[in-house]
Amino acid sequence: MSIYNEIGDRVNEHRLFALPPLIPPALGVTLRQIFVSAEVRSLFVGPWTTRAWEGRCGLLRADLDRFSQGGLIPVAARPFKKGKTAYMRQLSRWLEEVWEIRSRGVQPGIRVLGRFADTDVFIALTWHKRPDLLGPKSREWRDAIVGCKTEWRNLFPAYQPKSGDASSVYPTDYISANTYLV
Amino acid sequence: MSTQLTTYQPTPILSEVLDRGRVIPIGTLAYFRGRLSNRIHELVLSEFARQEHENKTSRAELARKIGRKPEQITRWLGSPGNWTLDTISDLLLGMGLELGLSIKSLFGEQTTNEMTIAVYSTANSTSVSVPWLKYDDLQNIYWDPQLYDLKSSFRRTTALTGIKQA
Repeated sequence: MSIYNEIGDRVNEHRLFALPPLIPPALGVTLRQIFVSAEVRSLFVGPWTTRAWEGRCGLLRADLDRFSQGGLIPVAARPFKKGKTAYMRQLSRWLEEVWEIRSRGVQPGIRVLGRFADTDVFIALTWHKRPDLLGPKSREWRDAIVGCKTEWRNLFPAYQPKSGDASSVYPTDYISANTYLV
Repeated sequence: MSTQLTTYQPTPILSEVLDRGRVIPIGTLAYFRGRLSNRIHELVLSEFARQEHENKTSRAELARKIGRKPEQITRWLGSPGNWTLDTISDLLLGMGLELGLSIKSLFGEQTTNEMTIAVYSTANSTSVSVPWLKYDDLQNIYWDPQLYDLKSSFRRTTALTGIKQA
């Protein structure tokens, strides 16, 4: 039994959903996979409360597809004080293995939190409007990280997320290729 | 090792664009706005990364050339969040470049007799073109986007090939 079997089981149970990019990726690129929780998926299937929110969720989908399209993505470099605008970032308490994908450009900013099941396999578990998270050391941020970890444990109680090897070149343990550290 | 195959049929999002009698939903408009923004950002970032790797430029040098602070360049390279057309022009000019422009049909990327199949695996994920496979063939195939083990993936790929060749 591997984490892939577990992912397959969760997909069968409709507790996790594959999110392949809406537009086919370029031929020959190294692909990455995203699986999303029902909570995250609801952003893309609606119903949406307003037209503006529907548009905001469309933009978020484009941002998530950037990951799965396999192209070059900016990743925040360690130490995590840097890379404040990077597309993807491992949250500062790095032993917790929680990552965020940032969707910026249109208000409100959205943060999708998740963990890597394996290299190039990201499990998007929760999402938050950035203004709701307040400052970087806020209780709201702490709760968001705990919520992400709880959701992981609910889905994969017997498996830990992918963790980096200190001897590897960051972030290749998580994303094998096409990253740019900022 | 696990492998996932995902075929790309004409997606609803493209059907919405194709349907002449239908207003394109705001979510689709926003998706393509975001997609364009991300693609241009990736293009500029790729070029910067290449020049930086070849020691032809640096963030500090680029910043100096276009009259910005290095931290602004770092922010721009991190995401396309606040990019404007002026930002793109400035960054490219700072690298001695300008954008080459062309327009192409959304539906021209794949002809009716060519499909792209994304092959996901833990070892070597890539996408391949299957020229003998037609969209029509796929209409009769139930394709569940789940994980399959490598053996069953190959079996399914073979099955798809057999359908066309039959």
